[in-house]
Amino acid sequence: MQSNASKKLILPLLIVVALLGGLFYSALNKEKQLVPSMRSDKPLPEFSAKVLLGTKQVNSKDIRGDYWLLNFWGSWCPTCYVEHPFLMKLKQQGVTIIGVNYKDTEQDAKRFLETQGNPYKFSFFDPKGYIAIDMGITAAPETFLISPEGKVIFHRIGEMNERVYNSAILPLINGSN
Amino acid sequence: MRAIIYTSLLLFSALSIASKDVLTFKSSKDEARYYQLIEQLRCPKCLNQSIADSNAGISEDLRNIVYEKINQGHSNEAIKQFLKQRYGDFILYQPEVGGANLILWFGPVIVMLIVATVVVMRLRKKASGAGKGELTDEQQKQVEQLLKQSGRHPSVTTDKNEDKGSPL
Repeated sequence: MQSNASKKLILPLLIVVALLGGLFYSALNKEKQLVPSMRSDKPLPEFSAKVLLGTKQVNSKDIRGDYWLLNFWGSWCPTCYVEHPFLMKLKQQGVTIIGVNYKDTEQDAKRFLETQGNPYKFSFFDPKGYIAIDMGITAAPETFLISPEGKVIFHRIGEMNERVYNSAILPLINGSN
Repeated sequence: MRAIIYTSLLLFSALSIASKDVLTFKSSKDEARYYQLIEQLRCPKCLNQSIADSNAGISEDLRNIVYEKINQGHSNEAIKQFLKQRYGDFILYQPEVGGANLILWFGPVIVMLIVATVVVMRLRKKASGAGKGELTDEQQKQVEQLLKQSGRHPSVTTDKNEDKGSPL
């Protein structure tokens, strides 16, 4: 009698174990992102700010052209130093990167670009973090890929590197060509 | 000498308190709303901390936004919607009742109801079948066959009685 009841339990137990195993495996391979990216697959919101190097005021709606990256950075952010050489490499490859200097002082930000190099076409100066909140940023660095139509098609929280660029960004750019 | 040290320590501590931003509101009601709201909004950078408790840069920015919007006359609902558009439901400690959140709100109750129903049904089934034993059809057949063989089966007994026939 007992063994009969145990036999009845084996199949549901196997199903539960298989489901949990599948869930565990998919979670292992998933990029960890605490906050949902609310800007993905939506038009780039309109924001305007002064550029870091100069006095010109730029509106986000005025940025037109091919695919481009919007990168949030700050001289206070250690990971920004780590990803910077790769951004310089992307610039050499002809990728357009527009920066948002986030919660920084003008002096520190300029010194950062002087010492580390400037991969940006220009950088918005956002000392109070207004643009960051408009884009749903939680910290720096974060990078968005914007399509020629002005739509946000990718959001990376954390360091931008060759692996992420080749596996997530390039297929999006090449896929539409 | 000691008096000078204590005086300067007091002076510096007073200065450090004074250097913190003092928030001014249009009314005490707005001030209460501000402190209530920042307790209800979750820091998007930290794990389980409100923007009131968190020292993260983003929490500071979000507190500033809430402060500015309250002073501009925005309602609590409008401020929550503004932040929800940017950070999703994650930002709200108490998610709205509706859409996919319905699972969050009513899922546990539904699961508990299902479990309770299954438990009650099984208990009833067990109670109603208590005197009958739990033999399978095959086992029942085997029992009947054994009873027949031993001559104790009710049908066998009846047959024997019939065989005896009437004394008349």
